[in-house]
Amino acid sequence: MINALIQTSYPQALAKLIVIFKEIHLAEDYLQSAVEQALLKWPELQPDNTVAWLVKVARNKYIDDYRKQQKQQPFESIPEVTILPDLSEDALLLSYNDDLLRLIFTCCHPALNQETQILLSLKHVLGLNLVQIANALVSNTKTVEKRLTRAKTKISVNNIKYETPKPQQWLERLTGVLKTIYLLFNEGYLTTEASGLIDQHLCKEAIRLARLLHQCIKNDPEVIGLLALLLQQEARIPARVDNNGQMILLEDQDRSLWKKTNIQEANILVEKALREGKGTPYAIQAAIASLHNNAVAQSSTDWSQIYHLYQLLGMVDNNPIIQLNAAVALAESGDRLTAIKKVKALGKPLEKYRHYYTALAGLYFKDSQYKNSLAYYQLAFERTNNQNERIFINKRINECQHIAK
Amino acid sequence: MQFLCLIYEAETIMATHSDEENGKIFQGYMDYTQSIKETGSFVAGEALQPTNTATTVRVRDGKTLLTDGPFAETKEQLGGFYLLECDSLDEAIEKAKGIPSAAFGSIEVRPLMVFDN
Repeated sequence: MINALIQTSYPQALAKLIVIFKEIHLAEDYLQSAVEQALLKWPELQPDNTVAWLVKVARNKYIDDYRKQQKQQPFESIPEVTILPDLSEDALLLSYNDDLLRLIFTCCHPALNQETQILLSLKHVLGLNLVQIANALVSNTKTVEKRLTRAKTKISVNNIKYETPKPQQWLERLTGVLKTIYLLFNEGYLTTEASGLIDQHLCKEAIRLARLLHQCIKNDPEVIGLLALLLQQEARIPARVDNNGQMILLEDQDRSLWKKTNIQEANILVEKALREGKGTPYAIQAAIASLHNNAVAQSSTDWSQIYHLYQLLGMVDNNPIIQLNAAVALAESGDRLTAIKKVKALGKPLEKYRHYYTALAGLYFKDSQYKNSLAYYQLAFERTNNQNERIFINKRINECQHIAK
Repeated sequence: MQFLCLIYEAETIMATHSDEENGKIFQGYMDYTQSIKETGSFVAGEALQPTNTATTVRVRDGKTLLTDGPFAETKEQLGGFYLLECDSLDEAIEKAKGIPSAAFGSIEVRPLMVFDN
């Protein structure tokens, strides 16, 4: 109970303290000592405003330490951190909502490589844990931790300040900011946490940030594209999980459950994004999602158009995962055998990508090649820990074995 | 705090410049040095002779080994430096952008290590 309360208050309190101290390690250290106090005191008396409580305690401790160090100095030389901002619940929430986007921009400092920018934003501003971040960056927690340490050293020896960049510096930081928001949404959409498939809170937060960004930067096709993409994805959430919490594939979802308001809003945005920019990655992905979401049924989906969009996407961002998606779209538009050939050619680059095996198994399954399908489902099964996926794959394995007999 | 701005450029390309082009670059450096002296951030700054004048020294097991040439063969070579007093990396980057070679070479910006004593 207390732990959960601390956990939910932590990111907000940290965001506020980074703004006050302008240094991430100070903010973290003093928040840590405030958390220790909270563990002692909250069981007896829980404060109304937990975030404000943590911020106050952290900042008071800082002032105490500062005075101890500077005893000989006169009072007025204590830095401005002693001026406590408005910590009422309303003010805090309001400023937090504003601060958050600004802090992401702050973390996306161009002197740090992009992966590090995203890592800092996800960890310190958005409060994801190392496992979630490692998953988002297709890495492992050890590497993530190392990068984090290296980043902290670089920030501290170079005296990089946690200061909000000026609007003219926003554009050079935009790529990192967009990717951060995108990955935050992804973590919510297919969460690595054991408790379930979807973390709606993270998805909502990502959309809120994308909206806020869209208000600040009006006509950027990538900003519009990202917002549209997230809205289209979120539209499907009510149909993605069955009553037992199991994942339902796109082709089997009850499309009447999709959120129409999301789809309508996103359709307009997609059109605008495609008009503003000539095929930028988020806009193309949003267009693909739109084609799915506007189809009444899986069978009436415009797969050849989706295939073309994936090819277009492959031209701006040539990675094998996009080629895999393109091949799957090609199979759906009718040419299954060419698609299987194309997917098999991706075996080497996608060796460690577990969805490669599920995708190829799925293509064989649809093509009634059950022996091949079985083999790849078995490989897929070995490569996933996600309970939800395991149940699905196991079902297919049983079906394959049954039919093959 | 102090930042060392190491100036790297391709010597082979520099050698092909006309006198007029070199004169322009030289003037650019004069103007730049003057301007950072005025802001008060200039600590030191020098240009180096090309790497074909370099000697690399190593001492192994008490024996001195000399190599005629630079420490490493690279596309761009160290050609000079500025030592600047700046408040943060951001300020140092801002200043480094103004170094004439930034427009065709590269500037590596490194904070100086500070030893507590």
